[in-house]
Amino acid sequence: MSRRAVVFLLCVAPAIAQPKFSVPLVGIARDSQQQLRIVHGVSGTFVLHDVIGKNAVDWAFDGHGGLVNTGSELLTLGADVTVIRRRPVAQQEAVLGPQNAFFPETAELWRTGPQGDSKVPIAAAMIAGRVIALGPTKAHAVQLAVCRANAFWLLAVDTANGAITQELTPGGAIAEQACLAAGGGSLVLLADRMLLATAHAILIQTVAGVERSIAISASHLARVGEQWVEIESAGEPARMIRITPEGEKVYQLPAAKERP
Amino acid sequence: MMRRLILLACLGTGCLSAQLQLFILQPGQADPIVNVPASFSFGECPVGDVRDVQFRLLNAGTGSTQLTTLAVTPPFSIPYEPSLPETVPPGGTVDFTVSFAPTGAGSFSATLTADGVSQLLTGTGTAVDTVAISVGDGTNAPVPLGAGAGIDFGSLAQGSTTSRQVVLTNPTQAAFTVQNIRVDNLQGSSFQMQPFALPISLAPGGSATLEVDFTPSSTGPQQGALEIDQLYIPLTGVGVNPLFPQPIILIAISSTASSEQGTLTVSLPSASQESGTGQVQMAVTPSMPGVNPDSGMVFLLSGTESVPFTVNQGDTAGQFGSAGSVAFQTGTTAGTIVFTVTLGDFTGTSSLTIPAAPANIDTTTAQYTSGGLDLEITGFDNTRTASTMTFTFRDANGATLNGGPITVAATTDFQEFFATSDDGGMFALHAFFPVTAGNPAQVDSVEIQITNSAGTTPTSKVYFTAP
Repeated sequence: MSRRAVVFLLCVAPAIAQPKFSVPLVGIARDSQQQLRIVHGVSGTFVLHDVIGKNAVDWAFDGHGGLVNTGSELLTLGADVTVIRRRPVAQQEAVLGPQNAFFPETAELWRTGPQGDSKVPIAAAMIAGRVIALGPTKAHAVQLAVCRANAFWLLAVDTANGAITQELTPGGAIAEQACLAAGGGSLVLLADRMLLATAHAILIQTVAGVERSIAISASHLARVGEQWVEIESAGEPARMIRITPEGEKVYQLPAAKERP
Repeated sequence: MMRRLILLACLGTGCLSAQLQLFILQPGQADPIVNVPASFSFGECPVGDVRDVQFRLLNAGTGSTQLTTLAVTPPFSIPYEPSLPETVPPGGTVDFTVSFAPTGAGSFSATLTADGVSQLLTGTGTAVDTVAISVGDGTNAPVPLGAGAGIDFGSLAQGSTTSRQVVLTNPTQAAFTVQNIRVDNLQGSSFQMQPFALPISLAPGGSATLEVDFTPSSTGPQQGALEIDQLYIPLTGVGVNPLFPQPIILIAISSTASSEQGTLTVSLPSASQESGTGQVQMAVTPSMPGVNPDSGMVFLLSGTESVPFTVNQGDTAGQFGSAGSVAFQTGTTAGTIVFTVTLGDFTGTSSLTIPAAPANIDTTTAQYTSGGLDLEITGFDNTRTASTMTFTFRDANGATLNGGPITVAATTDFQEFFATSDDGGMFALHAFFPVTAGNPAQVDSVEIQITNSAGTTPTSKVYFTAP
C-alpha cells in the first residue's frame, strides 16, 4: 500500500470531540500530618489538594491506579485518585505496587484494579525469600524484588497462574545494598529503572545497567505518579523526583494549605 | 465574766463605793479582759492608717455612778462616743473604742479621761517616707531616689526585659514595717514585680531589695507606678521596635521563568543587636489584568504567600525554621513577583519579573482506540491567552496523515477553563479525535503546537500506544 493510499484511507475529524480541561494531576504525596493528598501541578509548580487517606502507612500510584495501606484498610485508587474500593486488611504488613499487593504473612499476591481484586495463586516456597518491592505489571507478569538472605533477586510472576517465569540477580550497587540488614532501604521498581533509598543517597540503576545517585538521605520512597517518585527524609519537607527517559530531577513539595 | 471583771478591778485598784475602772477588751484572745497598764501603747501605726483598741469602763463600786465625761485628744479619738451622761449601775459596763491615727512620723501621747479615770495613751506614727529608697540596675551601686522622683527604665526593644533593684533602707532607730507594695500599669503590662512576701519588716538600719522588671508590651511611652504603702513612685519607659539591621532579600533561581523553584535568603548587613521575628511576603502583579489568583505561587515551607523567619542576636541572616533560606515556586502566571521582607521597623523588597512565554507542555500521552485518537496534554500558559492548537498526525514513515495539520480554535475553551481555575496557568487537556474512516492504529505519532500571545510551542513527536 502506498503512502498516498494510507493518507487517503485515514480520515480524522478536524475538531476535538468534547475537549475536557482540568488541573493537571501529578499524583499523590504524604504531607507532614501523615495525610495522603492529591498533588496537582506541573514540573516546578505543585499544589497539594484534598486528603484521600489519613494515617497512610504505604502507598503506590502510577497515574492509572494505585493502592494505599492505612494499616486497617487497603484503598484502591482510580486513575483520577478517587478511592474506588476499600477493603479491611487483617495483616499490618503489605508490600504495595500500583496494581498489586503482597502480604508476607500469608505469601498472598493480590491484583487490584477497577474491576475488582483477584488473588494470584503464588507458591510461597518458590519465592524463598522476603519480598521488598513490587514492580509494574507488564505482559501478564508482575515483578517482585526479593531478598534471599543478603542476595537480591528479581522474580517475574505470571499473574494468571502464579508461576515464576524468570529469576535474575542484577548486579550493581542496589543489588549490593537492598538486602543488607542495616541498609535495606525503601526500593521502587519502575519499568526501566529501580531506585533505592539509603542513608546517604538515592541510588538509581537502569535496566541497561547505568548507575547514578542523588545525594539525598531518604527514609522512604514511593511511586506516586506516572512519572513521579516521592522522597521522604526525616525532618525534611517531602520531595518528588520526576522520572523521564532523560534522567531524574528533584523538586520540593510545598506544605499543604487547607482550602476554604 | 462579770464576777471575774469585778475581781480584777478589786485586785487592781481596790473596791470603792462607786468607781469606774478601765480595762482593755481583746475579743477572741485567751484572756479577753486585761488591766490597763499605767501607760498604754498603741504601738506603731503607718501614717494614714488607723489602729483601734477597745476599752471597757466598769463600775466596780456598790452603787450607781454617773459617766459624764469621756474624752481623749488627737491623734487619738473615740469614734462612737456613748451618749452622756449615762448612769452606770454597780457592776455595769460601758464599752468604747479608741482610735489612733498618727498625723506624721514620731511619738504621740494623750490622756483618756472619764469620770475618775485618767489613762495615758501613747503611739508611734511611722511614715514610709522615712525609708530611704535607692535604685540600681544590678551593675552599679544603687543610687538614692530623690523625693518625688520616679524610676525611668529608658528605651527598650519590645519583648526585651530590663530590671531595676529597688532598695528600701530603714535609717531610723525604730523598726519599720512595709505593709503593701504593688505595681500599677497605666496601660498594658510592661512593668512587673518579682514575687516577694509581705509585710516586709525593716529593723533599724536594715534593708530589703525588690526587683521591678520592664518588658515593653507595645511600642511608645509606657507608664506605671510602684506603690510602697502611701509612697507613689512613677515608673516610666519607652518601648521601641527591636534594633535590627536593614534586611536584604537575596534570591537564587536557575531561570527567571514560570514553574521554577528558587530560594530566598534574608541577609543582614551587620550582626543583629536584637532577637525577634520577621516575615517575607510574596505577591504577584500579573501581566494580564483581571486574571484569577495563582495558588502555585507560594513559599514551600508554609504553602502560602508568606513565611515567618527568626533572627537571633548576633545573626547576619534570617532563619526559616532550621534553614538559612526558604524555597518558593514562581507559579504559572507571567508578571512581577514582589518579595517584601519586614523586620522591626524595616522593610525591604526585591522583585522577579516573570516574562510572558509560549505555552509550556509538560507531559503528553497519545493512545489510539478503535474509535479514534486520544491525547492528553498537560502544561501551562503563563499568559492565559492560548488560542489555537495544531495537531499533525503522521504514519510510521513520517508522512503527514489526513491531508495535513488539523488546527483547532481553542480560545474559548481555554478562557472558560482559566476563568474557573485558581491554579494559575496550569491546564490538562484531554482531546479526542474521532477517526471517521480508516484504522486509527495506522497513526504512528502526532506533533502538537499551542499558540498563545507570546508565541508557538511545538512538541517533538508523541508516539501513539495501544490503551
